[in-house]
Amino acid sequence: MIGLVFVSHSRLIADGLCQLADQMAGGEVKMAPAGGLGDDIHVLGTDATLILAAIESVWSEDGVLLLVDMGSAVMSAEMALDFLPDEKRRLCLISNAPLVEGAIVAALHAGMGDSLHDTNLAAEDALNARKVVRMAEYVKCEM
Amino acid sequence: MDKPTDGAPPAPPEKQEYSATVTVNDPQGLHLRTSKDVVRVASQYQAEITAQNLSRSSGQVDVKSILQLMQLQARQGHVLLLQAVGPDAADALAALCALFQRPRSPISAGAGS
Repeated sequence: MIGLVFVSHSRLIADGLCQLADQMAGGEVKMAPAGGLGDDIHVLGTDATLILAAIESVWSEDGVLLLVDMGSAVMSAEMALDFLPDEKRRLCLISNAPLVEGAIVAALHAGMGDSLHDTNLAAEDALNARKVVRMAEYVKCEM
Repeated sequence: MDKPTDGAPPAPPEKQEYSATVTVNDPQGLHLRTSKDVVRVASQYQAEITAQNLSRSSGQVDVKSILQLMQLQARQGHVLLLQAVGPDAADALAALCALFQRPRSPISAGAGS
C-alpha cells in the first residue's frame, strides 16, 4: 500500500487534510502532513526538511505520493526528493492534483490498494471535476 | 426479458445488464463519507456501474469515481438509477442496493451513533 504526504504552506491545512483523508482511507493508509515552517503553527511556508521527514515516516516500497498546494510547495517537495537516495526517489511522485480533492481521492484509492500510478491518475482526475453545473452554461451552449 | 430462441447461442455471461432505482435515505444526502463506501463496494466488481440522479435529471456518472458521485448532488429523498453491465452486474447491483438501504446513523446524531 502506498504512502501519502500532504504539503501545504499552512500547517493547519496539512494537518486538517490528514484528518479528512484518514477518514476516506478507513485508517488503513500511512499518511503524513508537511505544512508550515518552523515551530509556530501559524507561520506560513514550506520546508524541505519537514517534507523529507514526512516521506520517511510513511515510506513504503509501493511508493509515496506527494500532494502539494502550489508555488514553493512544489519546489520544496522537489528539494526533499533530491535528498533521497536514487532507489527511494524513483518511488516518489509529486501529483498535479489539486490538494484537497486530490487528498480525498488519493486516500480512498490508496486504501483500496491501488498502485502509485493508478492512485495518482484518479487524484489528477480532480483537475477536470465540476462541482456545480450552472444554468448559464446550458444557456451558453444554445447561443 | 426475451429468452433466446431454439438454436440460438446462449447469451454470453459478460453481457449481463441490470438496473435498479434506489432512494437516498441519509438525512445528509449522498455525502463524501457515504460516497466513499459506495466507491469501495462498487470497485469490488468488474461490472461497469453508472448512476443517474433522476430527481435532478443529471447525466450518468461512474459509480467507481468519488469525484463523479459528488456531482450527483443527491439529497435525502432523491432517486438514483443504477445501471450495471458486466459478468457480475447482478451481484454488484445487489450489494449497492443493500448499501443504500442500510439504516444511517449520522455522526451529527451525537452520543451512541
